[in-house]
Amino acid sequence: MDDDRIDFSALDPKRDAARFQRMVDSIVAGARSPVSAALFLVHELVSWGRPAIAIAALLALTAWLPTLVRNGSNSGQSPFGAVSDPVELVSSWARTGKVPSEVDPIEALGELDGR
Amino acid sequence: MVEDEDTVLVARARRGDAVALEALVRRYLRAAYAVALSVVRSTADAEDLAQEALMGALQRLDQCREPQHFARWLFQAVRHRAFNHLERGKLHATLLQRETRGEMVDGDASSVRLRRRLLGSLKQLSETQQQVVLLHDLEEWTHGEIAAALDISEVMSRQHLFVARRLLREHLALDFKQEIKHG
Repeated sequence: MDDDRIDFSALDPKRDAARFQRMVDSIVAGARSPVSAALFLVHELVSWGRPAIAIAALLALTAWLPTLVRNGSNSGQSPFGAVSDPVELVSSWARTGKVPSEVDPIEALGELDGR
Repeated sequence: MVEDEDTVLVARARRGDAVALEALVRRYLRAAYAVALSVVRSTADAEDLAQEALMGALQRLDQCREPQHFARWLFQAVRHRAFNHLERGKLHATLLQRETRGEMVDGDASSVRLRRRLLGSLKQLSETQQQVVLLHDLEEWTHGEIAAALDISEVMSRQHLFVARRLLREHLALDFKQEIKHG
């Protein structure tokens, strides 16, 4: 323990935890392009040995790509962030070890189109 | 090693991995804020600049040639933005607005006074001294991490910390005495 430490807690942006979390979320959303987020989703599916679903997802994304890019350029953020985030959803499957059913990824992608 | 972890996180973030992006943001947002605060004189400006710089850096990760030195690369971007901000004179134009929006409203009168006193004392230090003391005492980085990120030696990091703390304590004590004297 360093007893000489100066107490800078009054200047600490983390003093308001909720506000700090909003800052983190905003940066992550702004840093992700819609296309790279979509490609990551496909990459995750392939890495799990689910190439058939990945190909289906890729085809669906190709069809939705114009909407993705249009929404992304309008809002300055990933359109994924507007609904539930499919990439985050897939990442959570990876973290928890949950193996998604055949319908789960398609449903996650369907969110993009508001279906 | 932080450098090894950064290399992995940067590689994953380049592929669009949101978990890696968030890990980088959590690791470096407050550090970027500390670097910005060493240049500008407002916590609200420093927060804005840190967010903008971090988002910009993450959007251009393919340009980060040495992912193991992500922190150094990010801090250069933060400093660049902060100095541009000063040069444009935006600081002076928005200072009053910031005070009411971010710093006066956020907290009671005593915490606002404390924040002003700390900021005033920090500005007595050199930019590197401010960065070292903030990264060490606020962000709790080791001298090894500070040295790598600021491109200085560990010995220099220790020296800067020693001098910075002494100057800060002297200035804070003087400031406190003057406040008591003037009621």
